[in-house]
Amino acid sequence: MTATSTRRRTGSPRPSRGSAVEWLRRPRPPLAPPRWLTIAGIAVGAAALAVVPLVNPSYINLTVTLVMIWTLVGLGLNLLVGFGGQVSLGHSAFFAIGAYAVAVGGEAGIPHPATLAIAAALPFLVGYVLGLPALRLHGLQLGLVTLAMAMATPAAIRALEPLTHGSRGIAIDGDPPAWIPLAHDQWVYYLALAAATIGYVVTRRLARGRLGRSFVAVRDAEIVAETLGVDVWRTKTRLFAASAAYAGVAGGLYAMLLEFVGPENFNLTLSISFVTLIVVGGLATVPGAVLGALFVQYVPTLTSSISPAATGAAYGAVLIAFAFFLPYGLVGLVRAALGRLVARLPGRRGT
Amino acid sequence: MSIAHRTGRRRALPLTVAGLAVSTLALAGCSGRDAAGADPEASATAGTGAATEAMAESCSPGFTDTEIRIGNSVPLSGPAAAYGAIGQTLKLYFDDINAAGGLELADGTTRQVNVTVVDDAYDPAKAATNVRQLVEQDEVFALAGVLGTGAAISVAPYISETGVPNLFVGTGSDAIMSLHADGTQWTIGFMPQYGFEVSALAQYLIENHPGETAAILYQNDDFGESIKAGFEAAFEGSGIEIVAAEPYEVASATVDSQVTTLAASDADIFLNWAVGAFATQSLKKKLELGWDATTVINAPAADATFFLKPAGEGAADGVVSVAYTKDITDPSLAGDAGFDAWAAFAAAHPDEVNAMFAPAAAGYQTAQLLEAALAQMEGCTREALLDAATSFDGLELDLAPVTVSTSPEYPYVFSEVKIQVFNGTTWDVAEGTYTVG
Repeated sequence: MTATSTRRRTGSPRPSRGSAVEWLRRPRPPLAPPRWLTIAGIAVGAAALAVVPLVNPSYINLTVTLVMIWTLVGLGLNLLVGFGGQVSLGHSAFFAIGAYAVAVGGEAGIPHPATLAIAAALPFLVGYVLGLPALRLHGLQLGLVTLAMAMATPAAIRALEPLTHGSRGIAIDGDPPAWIPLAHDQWVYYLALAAATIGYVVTRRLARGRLGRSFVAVRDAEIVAETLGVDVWRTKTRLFAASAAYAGVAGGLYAMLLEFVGPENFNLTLSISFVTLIVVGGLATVPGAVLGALFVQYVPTLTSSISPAATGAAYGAVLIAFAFFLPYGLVGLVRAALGRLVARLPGRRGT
Repeated sequence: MSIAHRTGRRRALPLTVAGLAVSTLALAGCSGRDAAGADPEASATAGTGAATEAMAESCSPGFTDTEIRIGNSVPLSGPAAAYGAIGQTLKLYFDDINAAGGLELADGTTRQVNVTVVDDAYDPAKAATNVRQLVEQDEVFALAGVLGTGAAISVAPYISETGVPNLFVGTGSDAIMSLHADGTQWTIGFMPQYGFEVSALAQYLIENHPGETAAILYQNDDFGESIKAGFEAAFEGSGIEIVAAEPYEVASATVDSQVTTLAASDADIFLNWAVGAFATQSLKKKLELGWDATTVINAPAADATFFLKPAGEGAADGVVSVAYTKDITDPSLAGDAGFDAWAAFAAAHPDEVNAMFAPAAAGYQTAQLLEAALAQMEGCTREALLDAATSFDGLELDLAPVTVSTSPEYPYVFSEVKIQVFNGTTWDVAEGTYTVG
């Protein structure tokens, strides 16, 4: 289920008995590919990602950039929900704060990549403050409070009219500085790639390190964790703040990409799609954020191209199928499909 | 021991990732699209390899001797899916023309006009992607009938850089005017400018209801505030006075209490800027309270089938609004050549076009505007199309009660509207037209 709890299962997988559904629903350990494969995979992946914007037209770069933006949100939300066990339906609020930080900062004359720092810092602070009541709220209560946050976001943007220009929105000049010979879409792509890479690496380190284990401990057994010396108060508030910062940077990149922010960009459906992202990708797994991001970006387009009238129904059906057959998300599916193959590769380290 | 070993390796991996990412980024920086010797516009026009300004004679992408490609992005799914009828009707209209041989242009050649409609689910991010995809992948000559203020504004820098006309977008937002003033002049709004709507109605009220008092219900945001300020400025020194004003929250459940407060002022005119279901609610409440005032309603809410009639018998009698589309729900218009043409078009596509449905009529109007712009344009460039679309002179549309005259200075289709009064079942168009400025 999680990196921590399933590691001890690493061993020769028992040959599957029983139905295909049971086979799909079984929890699995993370893939442990040999070192040469990991390095080769990273090298090829990094090279491919670096070349993508140079050889593709801007509409493809735009969708890939959106995938990286969703990935960033997913990484942060997964940290909070998957590892921390705190429900948040309100991440569109942090996303909006980040987007408006970039928009308003840009209007105030701050150069654009620098506005992304504000887009990280401001949601971090807001997240920290909101993390305080979250200490007392559990499960559905916290879900409701964060849901209220998501619902209030467009109204709050309209109410802060002197700053946000209300429903007129703010146009943003997302072009790179003059000395960088990149088109707008390529520039934002590389910014998003850098942010997503840093986010991914940091999350991986967090998830596997002492902090990650204390997150999981607080999630699974708060009292035990406290007895063992985990500072529950600090863990929770930091989690909320860090998670909000991820969403904020993603929102900032989104604003730079679209070159326009308005209250209608940040409605409840956005928050719901964030939750969909981490559930479909795989709760409490780091690669799950990437797979979930690919899902929320491309599957609605696909279902809509099959039949515009049935988009909602088709999307819903896919989600139900995930809940029933793939409780561990796309990551679980990848593990199931490749587990045996990877186990047979030469050069794998012993366990 | 093995644990320590693993941790060491793990630590190395992220560094490898970061190192690789940085080095590839540095490499990439040297070979941007601009550095390759192409200007930003060339990426969009790469298909034909023609930089438009360099070779004035060569045609823009999406325009050949046999075909013109047009792109459209509307919500076909999601809560706003009903407005997808705009795109679908636009496509059907040109499919009919194509089936009959094609559209004859000013150069005497007949061409097929192929419309591509894509779904954006009313999501500005999707609309932005769609517009780029239409321009770069499908290589459309122009965009027409794209819906929504957010969509129109967010793609404005892109379409201005690539020089693609974004014609007849489904909004009347004043933001298009500010874009235009900033030199981003490739977007033209289909709906009457919201500010113009206010001044036309104010002028009508000054002429027909002199010396009366008014009460206004408006959205509690800058849009609502700008409407209220617009009326206040227009009534300045006219004898009409706004005696009560109540804002409402878009997120609230009802506007009953606001209407009750306004009714208590006993004003003679009710300026009703509630949108959607709130418009219906407010009319119902007004009838309940027995408040006898002339209701003036905003154009998006002035839909008889969806918002006025559901308020109940008598609730919407005498409601006033601007008219820029004929009342397609009024059977007595039969005999009017334009209305008959629309009815025949709808009858020819019984499964796709609902003859009573306002978004379908908007799509039909968009199609006719585009048809006229294409037929009038001189040459085969996108600039020529924009010129044609901004130089209509007394153009007659099947479903417009006024003629359309456009100019490069005013980025909206309608610079002239009529006023209409609801008689309980259909709209009666009042005498006189109101012109912008």
